[in-house]
Amino acid sequence: MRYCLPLAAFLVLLTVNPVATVSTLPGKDYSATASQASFWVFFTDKEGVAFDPYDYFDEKAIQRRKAHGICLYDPLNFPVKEEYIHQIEKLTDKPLVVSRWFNAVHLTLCRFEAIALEELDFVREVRPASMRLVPAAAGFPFVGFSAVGKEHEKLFRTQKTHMYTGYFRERGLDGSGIRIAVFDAGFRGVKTHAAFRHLYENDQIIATWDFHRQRENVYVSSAHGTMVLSAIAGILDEGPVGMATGAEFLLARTEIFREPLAEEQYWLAAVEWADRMGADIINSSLGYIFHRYFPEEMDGRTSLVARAATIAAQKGILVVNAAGNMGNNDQWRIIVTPADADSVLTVGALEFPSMLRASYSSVGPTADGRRKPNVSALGTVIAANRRRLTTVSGTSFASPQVTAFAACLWQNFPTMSNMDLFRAIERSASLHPYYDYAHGHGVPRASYFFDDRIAVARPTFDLSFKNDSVRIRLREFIQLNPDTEDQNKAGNEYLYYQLRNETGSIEKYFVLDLQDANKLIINVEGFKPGKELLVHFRGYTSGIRL
Amino acid sequence: MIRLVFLLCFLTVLSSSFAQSVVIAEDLREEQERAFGMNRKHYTHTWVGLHFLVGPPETEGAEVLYGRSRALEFGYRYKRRFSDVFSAGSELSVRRSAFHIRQHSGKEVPDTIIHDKEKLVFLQAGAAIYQRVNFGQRGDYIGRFVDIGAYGAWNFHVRQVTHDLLDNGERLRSRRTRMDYPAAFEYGFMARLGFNNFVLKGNYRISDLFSGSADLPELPRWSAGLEFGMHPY
Repeated sequence: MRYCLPLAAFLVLLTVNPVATVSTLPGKDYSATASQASFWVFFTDKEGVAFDPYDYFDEKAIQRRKAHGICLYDPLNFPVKEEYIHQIEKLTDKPLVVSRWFNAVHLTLCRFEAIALEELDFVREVRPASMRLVPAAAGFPFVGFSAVGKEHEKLFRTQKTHMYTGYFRERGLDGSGIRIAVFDAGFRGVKTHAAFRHLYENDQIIATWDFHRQRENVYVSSAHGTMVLSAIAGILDEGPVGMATGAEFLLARTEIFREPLAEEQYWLAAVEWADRMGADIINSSLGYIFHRYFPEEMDGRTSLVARAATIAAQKGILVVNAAGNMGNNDQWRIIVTPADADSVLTVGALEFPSMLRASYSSVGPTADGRRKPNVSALGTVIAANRRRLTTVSGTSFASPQVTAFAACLWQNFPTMSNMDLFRAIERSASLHPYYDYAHGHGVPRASYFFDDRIAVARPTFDLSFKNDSVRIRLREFIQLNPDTEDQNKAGNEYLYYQLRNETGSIEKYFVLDLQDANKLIINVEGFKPGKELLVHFRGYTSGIRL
Repeated sequence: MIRLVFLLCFLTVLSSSFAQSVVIAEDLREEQERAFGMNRKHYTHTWVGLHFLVGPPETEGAEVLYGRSRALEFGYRYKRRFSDVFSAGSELSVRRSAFHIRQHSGKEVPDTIIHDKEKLVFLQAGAAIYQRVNFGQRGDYIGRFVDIGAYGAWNFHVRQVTHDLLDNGERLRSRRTRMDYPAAFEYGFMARLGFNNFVLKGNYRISDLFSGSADLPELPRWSAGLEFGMHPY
């Protein structure tokens, strides 16, 4: 008899399943949310609100808008109606975050409050919001660090030269006049580490904000942002480790480890703040993943952060985001959000010394088949940590190198729009016009803009199609010297090739490590006619239709 | 001879011409399995668990040393998702349960002989079914959950291990197997409270540990402990 009650309860529970909704993907409804959860409440309109852009925006933001012909009176920047916020406050708590761009407030609600709010006339939608933001460092924060020793000299040299940034230095380009917003988990040690002394001496830190604690001090918690900033603008004893040592900075702390399920709103608030404060470039070495989303939702439209990143791009900001470190995860693998947004310059990581995709670096395409990542950079870097130097790995540290590259480039071409700059960076990359989902267009090269010899690629191979195979004859016999002076090749020569279908979509892609070769045969037996084989070798790309 | 030299030259050139290795190969036509995942229709993973005996024995004479009386478990779990809230599943496991018997004058399990130390070790192969209720929105993620289920196990090996200090100062360790008093099977209810990889677990054993003919008092029926789900996040 004593077992009857638990047994009955168990049987009742078992019978619940068949009547529950069967779906592979969970719905967005919040009906099952019994406890308090995080919600966005979207309003219907902004009618009658007053907005003075000269009062709201920093002078630099006004300049950017005028320079790129962007409207100062974009309704997206109008404030949320105070009246709506007051009415919300009467029913629930004070909103944690107010978003002008989305005309929404972020709240912690229980199910019944959410339902009550949705009934209000001025509420357009109530949507669950909680998610987790993950810094895009491999194994962050406990793996991937090591003290810097003499064995790292080659890494350091490669880090400084692999984007041919000597061309920037020769021309005195250091990002001066460009304002970069860095979103990260914390900037512990930035104020005290010698690598950043120049930023304070020259008043290059324009503003800081901790979006969790609502205060200016961002030099707490994690040193992830410190290492990221180091890769953008750090100066070590051996010289500058980041290219944009002359840029101005906005530092935003948007990621909180202790509160891992409430960070989306901080990223959104930070992007509006960065826009208001006149950021030209946003570097975000963060990404949202499985805690809230499925890989098939990485389409650049589903997540609010992807949509916010797109709005930022529309306002003339170049948004640079790490591709994510999910490449090793068989159940995810692809780009994280907001790196999935079309207008975000997504950066993958390369392994040292192979200079091929690091295994952890997330790959494309996006869930809706778009090309991502856009470019790649070295994923293992020497960076200033809280007190010392460390080697650290992750797409987190590839992204800031491209950010710094973009700052220097923008300084040189100030009339370029953000999307012109985006495309110029892609064009300058080592594989362009070739593209694959592991490396994007390759590593951006400053030499592309200043050395005419780079701009025109000379043929390095010939293709011919015969007897169900494509023959590739290399024009230069490859004989490798492991002690090559060219640090960017690390003693390897790679041939990239891919098979595209009739619509131009990549079906397969490969990279071959050539070892003393002058001729290759690729067997295409079984490939249907109409498909295209595209080959890239030593800066030259050519294709053949089967 | 000349032919042989030509052939060798040809082979040398051929081998150098094709020296290459594929370092990256991706086929995007390969369909990704979308029905398998932590919050998808099907999911499987392994887990390890450590449980401690809690609660009093049913009758006097079957007291155990708490803390030392524990079970180590390794299992393989299947989860079938029905909705974002409800799932159910089954699992297979192997377990080593050690009951350290408190030695005192009133002791009756498994006999009345007092030793310096004594334990009963059950090696078990088990299976379980469970019902899961998840809380909160999530992506492809285990999330927070409560499980209620039932388990059964076959005691495929039971041994009694005793330690004694003899009068001459020697230590005697004895190990007894093939006793007639352990029951062949065990079954009971279980409940779990999970936070992604970390799970708090409680078991209630319904069955008796010893066969009816042995007429031994029952050891504590409750156990509680931790499980660690071995899934990526």
